[in-house]
Amino acid sequence: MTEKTEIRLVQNAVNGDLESFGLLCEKYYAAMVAIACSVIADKHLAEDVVQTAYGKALVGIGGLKDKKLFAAWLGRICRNAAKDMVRSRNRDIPTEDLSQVKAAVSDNETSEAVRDAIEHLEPVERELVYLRYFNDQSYEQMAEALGISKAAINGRLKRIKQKIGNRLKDFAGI
Amino acid sequence: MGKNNDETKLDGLIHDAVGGESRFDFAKWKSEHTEEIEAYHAMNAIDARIRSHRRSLKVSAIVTAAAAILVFAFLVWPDIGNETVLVKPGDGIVASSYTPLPAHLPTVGRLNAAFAEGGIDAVEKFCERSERKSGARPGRLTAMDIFIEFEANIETKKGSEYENQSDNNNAYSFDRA
Repeated sequence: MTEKTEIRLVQNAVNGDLESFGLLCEKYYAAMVAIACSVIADKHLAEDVVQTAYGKALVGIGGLKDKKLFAAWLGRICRNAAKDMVRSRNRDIPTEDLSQVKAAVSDNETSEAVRDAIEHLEPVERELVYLRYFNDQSYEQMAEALGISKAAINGRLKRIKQKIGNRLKDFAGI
Repeated sequence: MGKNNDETKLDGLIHDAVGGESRFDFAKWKSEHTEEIEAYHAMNAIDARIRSHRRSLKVSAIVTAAAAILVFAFLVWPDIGNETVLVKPGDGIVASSYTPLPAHLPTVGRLNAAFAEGGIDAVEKFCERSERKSGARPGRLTAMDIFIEFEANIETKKGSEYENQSDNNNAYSFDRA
């Protein structure tokens, strides 16, 4: 989907074309789930959050001023919806809990250490990791979803991986 | 080489730890979010009405502007720089429907230019001409004078016999009959 096509879809959605909105939602679904996942640390909850966020986005799309920034705007709504969910459940999701949630996916010790290292990252960094590795987003897709350049993403990811690597040095084989 | 291997391995580990896949089912989402969809359609209906209202407002603004230009072109423009005497001199006051030219207004720049041209005499002359052209009011004006002037404006342009009046230095110097 080219930038022009996307802007046209956004414009159509603003003018009342629900199907255009659906196409946009489909395009950014994985990225939005990754963003929500980085906050809430649970894939299924993240999917619920994104579905709710899409509802909010649909109602508020008339207020979107810059059509080029649709993805970044949608990302912000998802992030806030995820934070709201964390708040509403009255839990800040401490690191230990996250590790338990993730343990369901794999009980491998190294994976657990990696997840622990990720949960110790800054929220912005964690979001970048999820965007990159959840559903294997390309740098282009990430740049669109975050509204920053590919070069910036590349630089940040390198630093983040270094941080994770340093934390994993205790574990053999890395 | 070793560093690259490490990075690839780390990529794999992170992928294993947080990787996943998600597919969006729009049809299902629509069936679960009917309220939002209704609100969206309702808001769009309102927006469409606002847009059409704005369009009609724009059209009326353009028509009004065009009408104003036409009025200016046909009624005001020919009068600029010309003086029309409206009342009889016997009434003691003469009203004039004069629209002054910008060139007749005594601005600082024009006064300076007049002084540079012919000294204080030229400035005095310029001031006199401005006063005459812009139809300056006399120092004292009674209620009766204002009333007469008001009535005279209603009568409009009766004074064809007073054509020469505009040449007088003071258009208000007539005595009451």
